[in-house]
Amino acid sequence: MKQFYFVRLLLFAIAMLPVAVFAQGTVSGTVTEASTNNPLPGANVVIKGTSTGTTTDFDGNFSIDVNSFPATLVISSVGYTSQEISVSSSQTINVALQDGVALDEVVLLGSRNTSRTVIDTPVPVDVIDVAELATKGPQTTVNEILNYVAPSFTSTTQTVSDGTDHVDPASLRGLGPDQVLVLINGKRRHKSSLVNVNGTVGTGSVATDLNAIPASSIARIEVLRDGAAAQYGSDAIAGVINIVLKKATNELSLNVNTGANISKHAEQYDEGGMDGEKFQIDANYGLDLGKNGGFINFTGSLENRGATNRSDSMGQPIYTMFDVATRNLGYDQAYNMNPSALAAYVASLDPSLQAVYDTGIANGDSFLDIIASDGSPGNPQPISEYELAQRGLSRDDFRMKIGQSQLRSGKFMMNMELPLDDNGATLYSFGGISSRDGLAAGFFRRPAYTDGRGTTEALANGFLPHIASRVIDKSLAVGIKGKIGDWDVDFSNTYGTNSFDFTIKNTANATLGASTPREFEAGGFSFAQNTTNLDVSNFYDDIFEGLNVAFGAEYRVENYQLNAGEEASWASYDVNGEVVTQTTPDADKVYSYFGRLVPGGSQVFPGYRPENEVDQNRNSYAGYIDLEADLSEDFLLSAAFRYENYSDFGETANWKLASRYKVSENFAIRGAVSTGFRAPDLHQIYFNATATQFIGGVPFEVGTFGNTSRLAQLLEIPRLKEETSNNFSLGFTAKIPDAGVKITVDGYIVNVDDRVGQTRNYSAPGDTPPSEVDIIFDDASAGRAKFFTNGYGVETKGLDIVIDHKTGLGNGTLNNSLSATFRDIDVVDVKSILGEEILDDRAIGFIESAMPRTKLNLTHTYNMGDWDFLLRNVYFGAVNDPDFEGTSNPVEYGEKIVTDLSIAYNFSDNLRLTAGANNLLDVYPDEVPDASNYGRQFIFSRRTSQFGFNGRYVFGRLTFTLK
Amino acid sequence: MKNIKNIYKLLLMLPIVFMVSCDNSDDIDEVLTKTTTSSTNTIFIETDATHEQGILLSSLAPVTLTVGINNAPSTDVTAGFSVTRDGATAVEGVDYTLADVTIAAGENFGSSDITFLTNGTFEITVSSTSSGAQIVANKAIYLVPSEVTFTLTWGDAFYDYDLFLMSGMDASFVDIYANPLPAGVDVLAFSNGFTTTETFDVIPPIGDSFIYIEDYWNDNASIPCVLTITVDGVDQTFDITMDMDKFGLSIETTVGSDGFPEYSFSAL
Repeated sequence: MKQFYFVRLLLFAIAMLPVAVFAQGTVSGTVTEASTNNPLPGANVVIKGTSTGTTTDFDGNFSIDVNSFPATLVISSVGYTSQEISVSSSQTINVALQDGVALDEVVLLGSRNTSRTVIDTPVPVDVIDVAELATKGPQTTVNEILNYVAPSFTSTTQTVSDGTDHVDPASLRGLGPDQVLVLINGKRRHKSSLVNVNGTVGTGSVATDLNAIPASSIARIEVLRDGAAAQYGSDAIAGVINIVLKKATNELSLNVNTGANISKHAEQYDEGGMDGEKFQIDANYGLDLGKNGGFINFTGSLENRGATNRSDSMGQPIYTMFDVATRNLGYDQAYNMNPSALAAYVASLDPSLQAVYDTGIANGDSFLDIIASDGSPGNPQPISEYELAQRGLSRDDFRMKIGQSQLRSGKFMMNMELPLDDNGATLYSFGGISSRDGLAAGFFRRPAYTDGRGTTEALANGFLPHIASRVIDKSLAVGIKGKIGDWDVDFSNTYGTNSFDFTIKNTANATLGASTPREFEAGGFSFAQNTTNLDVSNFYDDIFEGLNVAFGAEYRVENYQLNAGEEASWASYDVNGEVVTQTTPDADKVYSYFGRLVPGGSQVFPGYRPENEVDQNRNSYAGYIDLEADLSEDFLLSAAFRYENYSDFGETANWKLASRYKVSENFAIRGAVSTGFRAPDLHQIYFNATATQFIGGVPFEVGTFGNTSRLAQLLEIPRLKEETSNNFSLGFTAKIPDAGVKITVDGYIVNVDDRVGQTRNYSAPGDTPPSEVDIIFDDASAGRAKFFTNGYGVETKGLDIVIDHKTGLGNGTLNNSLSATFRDIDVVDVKSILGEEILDDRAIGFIESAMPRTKLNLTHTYNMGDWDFLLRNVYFGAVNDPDFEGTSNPVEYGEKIVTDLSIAYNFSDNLRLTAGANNLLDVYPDEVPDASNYGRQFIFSRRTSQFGFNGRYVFGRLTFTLK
Repeated sequence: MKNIKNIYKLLLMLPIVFMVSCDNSDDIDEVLTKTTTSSTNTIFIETDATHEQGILLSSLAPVTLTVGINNAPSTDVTAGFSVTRDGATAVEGVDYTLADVTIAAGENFGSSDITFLTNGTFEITVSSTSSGAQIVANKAIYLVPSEVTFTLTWGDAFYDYDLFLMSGMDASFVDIYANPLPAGVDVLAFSNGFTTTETFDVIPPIGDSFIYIEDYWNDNASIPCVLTITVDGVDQTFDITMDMDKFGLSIETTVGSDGFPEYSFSAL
């Protein structure tokens, strides 16, 4: 069936080719800055009422094909007042933009009318000039850039959280990572194949992998901060991020970027040094295609990012008396020794050990307790100290890797447009491929674990297991746009796939003892999405003061696969080397010296089992209509309606009304009300697995059961359906031209019902005889179980403020920008399973208070001749540690200000050097209370998403621009 | 395209960049696999004891001691013992009897029986070995309580009564020689002589136990009897009128703070 689908699609695309009609000429020219007469690179030139546009090159030059004259060109650039210029024929024009108000730029998002500027739109849109930021600022990935620039956007790198280490969960307006729709060139981007199931912000959600897109391929990013599901479909509850790719031609842009964290806690807490070395090279080059303004732009990016580590010496007990005995006697001999003998023997070796023994005896402790007992973090641990000395090791050898994971990536992106004739029919395509190899560590499997997961039979000192993730992302969009009569028609097909494969390294299957392999293929998953769009629009300038009519349809097919790992990655083996099954006698199972059942599978990340495998499809179709009318010069009203039908959960219809009223030329009020939805991701419906989770430092084998599983049915968990939302926003925009100030203030309320989330852990009832639920828990080797369910609601409200100011200062231009976001989010209507609410206090904490509720960004850029300066201060509000929610001692990490500074100098037209620092003052979050930092490993919380804890990052960047 | 030289230089640099970026080595520290294992051999007493608490014996029957050695020896290994009683060296032949243990070549275990001749707290450790194995100072601890003496006396030899210690009680039970024991009830000790005195020594089990007296000839004559119980040399007496077969006394045995049994007697 899939093949027929693509054949039909191809035929339709071919049929569309002859559609082009008119065409008439080329307008070229130069855009300059009025105040200095300097050329203005990167300015937008758009034909009003169409989506046709281009940007000026480094010398301010542009050339644009105009289908029919007369036409109006809208010329805009960040920080300048836009101009509209009428052209009646092919000609050359020179435009001098006046210094003015920032963000006065044409956007393609939030309105089907393609000539709106951000100040005109009825909903808030941020335009982020990534091309400029990527050369000025310290941040080099999309997530990093947005986190430090976009109001209400939060994203930080996670640590010790399996695959989530490599896909930073991002949040807009405090909502979930999956409640933001991502577009590239206006087309829906596929999501990551990873569903976050570890304890991080965004647990239970499926995000879009923004870091798969090389920042150097991006011209700008538009962030629509408003619900837009009625316009764009599923996911656009918190907003929409549209990534606009570069179109430059005949210009080789090469960025060589290197940097490292030079910080007081680098390499090891409180010791200072350097780690997190990063080396990145980006190349962007474009060629003209044809003679009608076509182009093809390529971007390649290679990145090598080193790991950071902010842990201190391991404060947890490392050894037990059993390990002392194994070193002296050999593993087998010690294992066969009875506890009284082993304890007495070890005690006889040293007075410090004898004291442990005597204390245990005096306390009436069992011999096994005496053997295992070695104090706790912060208290004397004589057994570990003795044994470390004997083995010539130190506690530093047992440090975990708490920080940014190691990452190597290669990314490629292409963007092209090819005018097919002189009438405006254009074939376009964009897409890319990226491959990222991440390496993140888990919890150190110390010998002191009494369940044998330290595998001391094979690895006398335990091991630090690593999760190597290979993330491959591919995408390709092909479309054709042109005119049919007066109608702009755009037909496209966008395909994207993302896959994760996990290789578990430096680990062991503890049930295999000394014969364990050290590396396991643990399986993985993939997600593919194909979206076919037909968009039709027309702008009637003679109806009211202008009416834009748009309608269209979308057909989408999705596929989610989960692949099993090799047997040894998930199996428990018995003493005979056979896979443990329900019928394996208890006596044949592998027990630790302490009598505990040894957990199977590859430590840190048990592979996916054959019974976990999934290959599921879904399709959906949608239709929409979008009207936007300038009822008068001042009054804008837009309405949108969208219907979607999904093959699994059914249909949904959503609408949106938005309006803007210009009270004066410089002051406008805007507001919107809409409904929205988010379809449950296939991952959320079908993902199932068991994993090791540490809660309070104690390892648990936890199962995540599919929403369609029998266990879910037994527990009467309903099938997943769509989340729904109601969005309200109200704000104003103001300009003070004389002062060069622009202000936008927008308040919002978003109420989400039936939010899909991951439940708390549920335990088997433990009935005697075992109930069916007990047996299913056993079958899954899960002590506890989680599910995805439509389990709660979210109410969020907030206020976003953006103030931009531009002025001349000395011989240069000073831009000041302040953005602020204030929000409050509450979890409501939590449902219950087995008599318990599905979210515990910790899970609620992740949603409500683990991300800053207040964030302020004050950025100054100063340009003077060949010099550029950037100073940015970002205020990150306080966050609460979810691990302490619901306890008698909740923990709050206070607000912090992070300062970025960079200086750039243009040595020539071809060479630019930028140097600077992110977090110049080396600010760290507040520390986790000593009693809860896992022996000084998690000194900074891994649960919150504030600004990370890598410390100061110093960078240098060479930018070559060759023409 | 201008500045061909610059492009040339950049192209020269790219292979270096490529090599750095494609470096496929993993940053995993494998520093923790080293350990030094010696071949020290140890010899120790095998015990299932989970705590350093003595095992309370319920009788003076011989107890088997097992000795283990980590590496099976190539020739027979003999291990001798050190035994203490209440903290002082116990006297073999007076306080206990115990032969040395021999662990046969190729085996990991050997055993010998120890018999306690007196009461007290006995601690047994391995004290010597014919091999070079390191002797582990773990120990087996036995709490050997003194036996309790039950004596039944009466005046007229015409009558014949027999004395039993039972693990349970059924008040309707009679004629122990003619009827099966009630379910769950066992005879723990007895005396069935022909004179006017019946007596036995026994360590009553932890929990409840009962004295049953059998009127052998079923005279049912209401004959006064005296039951004397001697614990650690101290007598307690109970008057019992034998007018039929009967359970005459209940014994509640608990473990005292010293680990030894404590008794509570109640006439029925």
